[in-house]
Amino acid sequence: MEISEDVKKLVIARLETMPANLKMSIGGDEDLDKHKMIKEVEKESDVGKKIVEMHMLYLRSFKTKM
Amino acid sequence: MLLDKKRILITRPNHDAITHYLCEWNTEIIKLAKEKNFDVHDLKAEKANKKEVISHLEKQKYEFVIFNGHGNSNQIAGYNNEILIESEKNHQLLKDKIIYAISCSAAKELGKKCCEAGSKAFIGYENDFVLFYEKNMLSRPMQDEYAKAIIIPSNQISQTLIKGNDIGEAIKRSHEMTNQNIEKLKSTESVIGAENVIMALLWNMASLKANGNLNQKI
Repeated sequence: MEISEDVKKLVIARLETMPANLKMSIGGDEDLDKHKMIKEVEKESDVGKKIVEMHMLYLRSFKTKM
Repeated sequence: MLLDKKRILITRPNHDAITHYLCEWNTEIIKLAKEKNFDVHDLKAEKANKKEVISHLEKQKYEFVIFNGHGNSNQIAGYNNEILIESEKNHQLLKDKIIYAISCSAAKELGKKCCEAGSKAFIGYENDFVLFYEKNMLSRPMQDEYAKAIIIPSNQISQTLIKGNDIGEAIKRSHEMTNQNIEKLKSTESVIGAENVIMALLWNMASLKANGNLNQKI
C-alpha cells in the first residue's frame, strides 16, 4: 500500500494532537508514543502503514453514519 | 452423582506493558470463572511457558483455553515471547476446545488450522490487537481509563462464554460493548485523546473473528 502525501500529512497532523502521556501497543514491537508514531508514518514502515489505516478507518466511520 | 467441573486454562504472561495490562485485567475473568464453578488453571507470568502449557493440554481435558500474549498468524507466545502454540507443530493440542486468543493475527491462519484439526472454535484477531495506555499508569493498569475502554470489550468474549452463552452471543456482546464505549467516548469531551481509543476499538472490532461453529458453548 502506497500512502499519498496528503493522507500522510493528515495523519501526522492528527498524531500531533495526541496526548504525550499516551502510548500505543501494536504487535510485538516496541510501544510507541506520538513522536515515534509520527516517525513510523513518515518512513512508511509496516507499523506506519497500520497507523494510517487505523486513522482512515476512524475517519470513514463518520462517513458511513452520514 | 458429582459432576466433574469444567476446566479452563489461561495463560497470562506479564513481561511487557500490553501483557502486563492483559494479565491484570484477566483477573476479573478468573474470578468470574471460579464463581461459576469452573476449575481454572492459571499460568501467570513465568508459568506461561511452553513446557507448562503442553503439559496441561496433554494431561487434562480443557473446555476453554484463553491465551493472552503476543502472536502472529501462525504462532501464539507466552512469557518472554516463548512460542507456546504453532501451526503444524502442536496446534493439534487444541482439539475439542474453544479457544480465545488475545494475540495479534492468530485468528488468520492458526485459528483456521486449529478448527481443521478439531478445535470446536477459535476466536481471535486477524490483525494486530491494539492497546492505548497511559505511560504513568503502568503500576495501576486497572485504573487506566484508556486501556479499560479497550480491554473490557475483549474481556466480554470470555465472560459471555463463561456465563453459558454461545460464541455468536459472545461476539455480539463484545461488539455492543465496543459501540457503547465508542459512543461514551464521543460524548465525553473531557477525555483528552479519546479518539485514539475509539480508533483502537474500531480496529480491534474489525479484526475480531471466530472460526468454527458459532453455536458452540463451553
